[in-house]
Amino acid sequence: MVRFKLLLVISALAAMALTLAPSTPSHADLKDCTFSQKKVGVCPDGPKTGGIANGGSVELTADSTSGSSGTGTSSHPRRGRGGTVAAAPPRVCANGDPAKPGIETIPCGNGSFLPFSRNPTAAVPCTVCSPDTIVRVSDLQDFPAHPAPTSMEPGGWAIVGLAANFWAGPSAQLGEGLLLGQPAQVMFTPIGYHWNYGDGTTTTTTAGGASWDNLSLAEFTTTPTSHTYVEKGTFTVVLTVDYHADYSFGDQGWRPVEGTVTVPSTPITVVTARESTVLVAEDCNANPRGPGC
Amino acid sequence: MLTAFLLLLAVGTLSGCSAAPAPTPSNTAVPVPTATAAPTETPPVFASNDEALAAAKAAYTKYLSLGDSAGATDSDSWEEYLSLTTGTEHDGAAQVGKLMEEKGWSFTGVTLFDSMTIQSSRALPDSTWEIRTYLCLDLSSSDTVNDAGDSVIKNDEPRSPMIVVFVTPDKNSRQLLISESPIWSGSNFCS
Repeated sequence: MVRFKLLLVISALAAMALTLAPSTPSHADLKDCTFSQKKVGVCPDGPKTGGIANGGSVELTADSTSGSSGTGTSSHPRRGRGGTVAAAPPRVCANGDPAKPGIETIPCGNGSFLPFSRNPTAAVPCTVCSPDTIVRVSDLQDFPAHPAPTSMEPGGWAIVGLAANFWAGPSAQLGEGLLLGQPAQVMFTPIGYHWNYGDGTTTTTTAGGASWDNLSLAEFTTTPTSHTYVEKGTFTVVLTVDYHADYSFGDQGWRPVEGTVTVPSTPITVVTARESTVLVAEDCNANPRGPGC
Repeated sequence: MLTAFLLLLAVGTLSGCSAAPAPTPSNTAVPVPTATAAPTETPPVFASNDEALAAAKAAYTKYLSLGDSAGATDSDSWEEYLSLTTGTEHDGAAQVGKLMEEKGWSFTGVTLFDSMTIQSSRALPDSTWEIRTYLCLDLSSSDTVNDAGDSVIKNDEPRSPMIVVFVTPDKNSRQLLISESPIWSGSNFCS
């Protein structure tokens, strides 16, 4: 007797074609201070570290031991603080908008959470640091916004008539560099995601989307960023992210940059296929060469 | 009658199908069904920021604790402490060990931290994982003393903000090494 088993066979499977976009914000100009360096007082200037209790010679001794450590304390300008400790600066937090999506915030000490800020203030008075300075997107040559990493599921393929889910990885970015000749930070906040699904359909979303798993949805469920292909074929999906930028000179707070930065992501290739139900004689898992498999 | 029988058979065997083991790769010319492919990016080592935060907290707690209690730079405990670090953090920690030995200094008490917050948690291009965090280092219960037991450091501000970066040593590992502690030069959000 022949036992019939039904199997759902997807008529074509596609290779995965997505590559993760490189996304490496610049942190090259940072110096380090481990907790133990803090404890022995050899850290470069910060607004809050303590000083050496009995004279400042230890600072130099420690610097001279830094040897080949390229990013150690040796290259940091010494301030010759000696035994005195600079008065702590007023407790001012960066005043960006903590409600912006994707921006990581820090506890500000008074119960509020505000964006990350550092103080790269130059020793010389900064002429462009006035709040009246208007910074435009075209001034941001030193601050490339990196493409948002994009993902899809199923990986690289989709079934005609069923939703394929696309989403963008975290894409808020913080960069450091020279802005109008002054050390500054620029923060990019995604404000719009434009999906071109390659079949003539486009969608704009305000959120980057998420995987079915993260949304606690069943596979092939429609999501705000999903797309249902109606044709078989190979499609190239391109995500373009609009960023709003804010800049900050030191602790002077975040101010908006005029204009919007648009960055296309690495395209994803999607192969769509029809699913069909076929009658097979045996379990195709057990016997891939069985009739119908 | 026959129809009913076939239907019964079909229904009965459907569940058998779904319980079938995952297909193994085979060189058959006919495509076989496969489980839904994993998302195309590297599967996240830490699925959520909460998970990453918990791992980072555990790693940093252990690091501070071993740092507080580590012995001389040729001891096993020192080696264990250093083994939790990589890159510039490793260099920095090693420098401090040398300096303290030269000076005859030691740590007392416990170094604490709190308010750890994830800045980012992501896969790097080489598929290792990186977690960047902010935290408040709390030196109020610890001290650095010389041979005579006198404090050698004056901390006006016992609580200071830090950025601490963790990386996994290789791509499938969930072990977190402390890789750098970039200077925080903004205002002190910890005091």
